[in-house]
Amino acid sequence: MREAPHDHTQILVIGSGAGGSTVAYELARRGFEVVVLEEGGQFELSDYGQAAPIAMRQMYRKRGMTPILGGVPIGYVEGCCVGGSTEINSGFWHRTPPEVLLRWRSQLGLDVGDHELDEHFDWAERELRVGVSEAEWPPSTAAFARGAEAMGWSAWEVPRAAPGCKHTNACASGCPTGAKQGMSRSLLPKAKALGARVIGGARVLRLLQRKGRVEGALVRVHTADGVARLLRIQAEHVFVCCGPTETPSLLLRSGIRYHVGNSLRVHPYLKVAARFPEAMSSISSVLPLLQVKEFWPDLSFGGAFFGSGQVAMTLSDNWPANQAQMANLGQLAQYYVGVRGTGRGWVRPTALGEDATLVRYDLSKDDLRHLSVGLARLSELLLRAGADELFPSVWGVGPFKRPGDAARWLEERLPKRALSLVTVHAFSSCPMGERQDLSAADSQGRVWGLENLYLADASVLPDSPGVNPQGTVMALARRNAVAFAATH
Amino acid sequence: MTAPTPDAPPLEGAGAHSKGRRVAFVVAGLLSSAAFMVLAIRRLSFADVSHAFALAKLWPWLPIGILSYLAGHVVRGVRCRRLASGEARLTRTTATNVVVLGYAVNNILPARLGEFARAAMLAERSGLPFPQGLSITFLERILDGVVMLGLLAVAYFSLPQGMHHGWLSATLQIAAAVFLLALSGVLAAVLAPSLILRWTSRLSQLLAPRIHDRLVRVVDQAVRGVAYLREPRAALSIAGLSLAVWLCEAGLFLCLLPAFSLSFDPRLALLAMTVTNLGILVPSSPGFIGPFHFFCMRALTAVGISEATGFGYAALVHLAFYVPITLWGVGIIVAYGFKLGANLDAQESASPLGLLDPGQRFVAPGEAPDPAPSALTRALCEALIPEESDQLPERPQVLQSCAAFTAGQLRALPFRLRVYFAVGLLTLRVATLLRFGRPFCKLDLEPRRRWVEAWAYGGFSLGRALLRAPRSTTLLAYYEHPAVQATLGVAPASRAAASDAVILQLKPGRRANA
Repeated sequence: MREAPHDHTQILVIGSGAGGSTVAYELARRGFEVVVLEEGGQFELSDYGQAAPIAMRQMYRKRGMTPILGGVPIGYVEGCCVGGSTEINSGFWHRTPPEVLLRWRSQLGLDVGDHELDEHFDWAERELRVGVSEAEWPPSTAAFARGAEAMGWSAWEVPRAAPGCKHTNACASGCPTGAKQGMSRSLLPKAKALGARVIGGARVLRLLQRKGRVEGALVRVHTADGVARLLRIQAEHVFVCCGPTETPSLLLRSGIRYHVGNSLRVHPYLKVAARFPEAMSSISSVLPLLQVKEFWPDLSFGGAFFGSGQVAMTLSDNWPANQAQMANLGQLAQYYVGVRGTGRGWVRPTALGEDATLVRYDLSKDDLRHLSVGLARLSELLLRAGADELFPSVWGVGPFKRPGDAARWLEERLPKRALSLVTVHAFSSCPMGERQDLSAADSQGRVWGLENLYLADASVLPDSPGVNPQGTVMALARRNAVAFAATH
Repeated sequence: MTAPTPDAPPLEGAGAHSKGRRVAFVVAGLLSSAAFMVLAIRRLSFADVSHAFALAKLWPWLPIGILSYLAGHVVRGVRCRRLASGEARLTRTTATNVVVLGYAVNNILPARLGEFARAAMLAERSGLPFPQGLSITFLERILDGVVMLGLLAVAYFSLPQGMHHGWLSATLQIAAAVFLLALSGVLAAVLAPSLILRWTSRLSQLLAPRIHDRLVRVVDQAVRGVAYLREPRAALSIAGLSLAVWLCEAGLFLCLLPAFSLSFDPRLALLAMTVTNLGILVPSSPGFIGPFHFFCMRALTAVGISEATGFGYAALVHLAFYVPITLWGVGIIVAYGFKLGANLDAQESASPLGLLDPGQRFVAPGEAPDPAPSALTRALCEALIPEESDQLPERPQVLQSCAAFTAGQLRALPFRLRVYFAVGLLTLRVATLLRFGRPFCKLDLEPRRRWVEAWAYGGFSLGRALLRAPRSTTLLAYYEHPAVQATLGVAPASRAAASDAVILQLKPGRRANA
């Protein structure tokens, strides 16, 4: 390799999502030379808010075609653009529940104290200006609140990292107003201002190791004339922040296998479209802002993204019967049943074909029970909220029209082959903790056996947190970046 | 011509090393040519050969044969263009010239240096890295070998038992072993490119970084050279073109048979062509003088034709093989200002991995456009979009948009799932044929809709699983299309609503039913 100013850096951050951006900003702020590599492209506000097919092509990994295999296949999507999934998520924000931290300490010996993350959550919430809205709730949120109240269940408006949200209903295709604080709007510009370089369109094929150290990365880029090139980037320290599926895939491609990719957890979601007698205006509003946590950690209910294409997909399990509902688009809203996910799965790089990742997750019996019970409860809530008809994304099930229609699923199990599940939350594919016999990295995110390789994304969470994970990922990433900076 | 990669530094000592190797090749080639020529003519009566030439009827057989041979080169050009199309844009003319140049240089220079010249010209005209150009060239050679093997087998088994000479059988077996081994290497590169690259990097990362980088780069470019074959339809088209190439070349051998009053027998032409082309794989002089004549003559004498006629035929075929292409190649060299010496060193200049260029913008995967949908995808999407679409004035555009999006989504699936999906679709097509007696794409829209509905939404769970992806993506694309959204009263782009939307203020969290 010839000497050159840009083939070597102190800190190489692979991935620019919630974890990678936090690490990049925090270390750039402390004077480290930082290069961030992101496989996806860099977009401007003017590129955001496109129709779903365009957004999927531009901003989603493999155009959104990254299904999780298993007894019940689960549709899974994640961002593949500068900012990662924070560009296409809802911006919902949760702190890690104390009970979850307790479980992680108990299971994997995670060395994180009860209040140790507080300062990092405070920091992140300031940076992203996290809060809840003061304006009137949109109809889909108000109806959901009505139902929760009728059922006597606790429901919270979930804070979001979207100050000044203008309800353009474009969260999933990039917020075109810039209100949502995706990483490309919040931390990355600050990191760049501090000297960090962010390179889009760069896929890391593998990490290069020598004598217990990672000495750099082998990177694939495509130049504007369409020619693929390989680059080597040398680094003193490498932070892998590619997300719950790509981080283990990259480690495995690099020959790093210790507890990598074998313990994937997800939050499986079952969607329900609801038709109300009044106008919901979901298509020109924000998604329902409340979440029912009455049955947490096993079960959560909340609102799902709404678009004409997305609702058609939810209705499509029983399309011949449901397609007429597309004429009632203005009265429809979408909700979900989310379960914590106690099954297990794995992540592997593919041997055949182009560089890709295979993911598998098998629903546990508890998952199936919770989904069934959850469907019954959510249906009851929505019908009590005044919904005329409910259309679950389960083949041969529904529509539900009257309270009690879905009650059978309190006892019975939904047929596996009839389910259409989705998820946007995966974790735990490279869990961290002090239990070296169970984890891939220590509590600071340092990969066992390699002195300069760190992980900082959802892959390190010891199991499913049961809540939207962005807050937890950012808090842990900052904690570990601060600890790293203190010792280097 | 310059070295194809701008960051390729010349390696010290590489020139001297390759020069020595080249001289050895040349000497070996010349000796081999002389030996085969001696073998060919040692028992010949030159009077008989002169007599055979005197009786030869060159018109119209020679011009027709040459035209057929040249047509084969045009088909080779089409094939070369397609193989390079993943990362380079070549015109058909340029691609044909690239191919012809390789043959012409082989006719002028020894040791098959034409293959390198051709790869270098491909690299220069297309911007592809040299090893990738070389990989495409070798891929073409392997495909040629496999097709020739098949044609030799056809010729061999169509001959009477009495003509199954031991050497013919041995040639068939050796060629089968060599080309099937090479084909398995190509298949590995086609099916598992990332795995090969990973292991190359992994095994070489303990070596010096410079060696690792060079190995990885060369292997990567070689593997990318076969990337076009990853799509089954593309692979089939290349197989078809390869067959066409050799049928055209067989045309030359066939047309010159009656010129020597031999029977116009395609089996004989195939035998002569395949034996000759396999024979000239041995090192020889420029233009394969010696081996060409020996093996061509040997193929004819094996079926009872006299040595004098066989040699005359071989000499004439060789002239038809040599002169037009060499002249065409010289024209290319003149036209393109091609410096052969520079090209021959390009193979040595595989550079280390590139560097990060400050400010350079790279293309992300999401910037690739939707692919053109196949007829099957289009027919499937047409059956999946709602019947109400029949009333849309923009229906053709909507359908095209849905089909292109669906094709792109299906192509984005992991390889394993694409294989499952392809098998599933094959089942659907066979079932359609059995049920309706017509191919899926030829079914009228109404029965196709009912049939697809039965699979996508019926009680057969495997059918539902098979069509879940196309069903979902087609409906998504359909209902997100501006023309359809207009009928639903939806503003087509969220961005349009941004300026008029309510701005929400923030306050600390609250509980809905507190």
